[in-house]
Amino acid sequence: MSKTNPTTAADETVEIDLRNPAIAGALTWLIPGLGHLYQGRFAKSVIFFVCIFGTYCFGLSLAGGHAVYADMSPAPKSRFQKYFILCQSGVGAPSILAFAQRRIVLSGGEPVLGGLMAPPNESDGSPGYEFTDRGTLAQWHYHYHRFFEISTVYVTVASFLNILAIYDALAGPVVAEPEEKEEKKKAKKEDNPGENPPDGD
Amino acid sequence: MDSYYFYLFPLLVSVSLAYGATRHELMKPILEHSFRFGMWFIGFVAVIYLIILMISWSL
Repeated sequence: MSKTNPTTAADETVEIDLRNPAIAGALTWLIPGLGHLYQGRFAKSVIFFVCIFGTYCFGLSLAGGHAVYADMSPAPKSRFQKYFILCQSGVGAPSILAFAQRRIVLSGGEPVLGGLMAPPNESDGSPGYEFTDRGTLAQWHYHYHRFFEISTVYVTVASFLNILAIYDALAGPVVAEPEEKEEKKKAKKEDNPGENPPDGD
Repeated sequence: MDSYYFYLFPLLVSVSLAYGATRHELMKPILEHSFRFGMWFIGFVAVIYLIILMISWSL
């Protein structure tokens, strides 16, 4: 059972029971805030769940669930496109679904959940669109226009934020020495120089 | 609703709160730090915006 004693800006020492940090970190990776719930840190669990998972889901919804996918094209336009899913894998549960959808499509099956986070099939032209000679990805960009980019940004930012949350679950908050405490110490030394004799006296 | 900037603010709130929560444990310091970070970020983005705006005037 790991414990840590961070000092807050309010000069209070808060003892945190991290329980098993590895399990907490893994749970936080899966769903933001779940690891903190496991540790009994309910307020932070709610903050991380609402802020990080909420951002992720909201961003995903802006592009109809298509901004996150595991690229399956054998000759991608750039390495950036192919490995972008890694930047979006900071939140585990949705990225597991994205990889699962890729697996299903590669094995010739139909994507589940209405194609949520399924990879685009570049050779398919969906009915109802004018640009039937273009791939599915281009059609998504055409249909969602700027929201596809905004969705990508939201999801990626949420993923990187979750890395901070995972660290918090593993090791507690990153607390810097409060500035007020430093200033108080300095003021006290200046007011009462006699109470703090130099070393060696 | 169509402007990019409209979608900046929910992201800013989310990032500020999440970052503040990784620096403190109690709610009050989290909210204070988040607010300070949010204000700093808005100021930073505003400065960058002004620089880019001035550059665009000279083009």
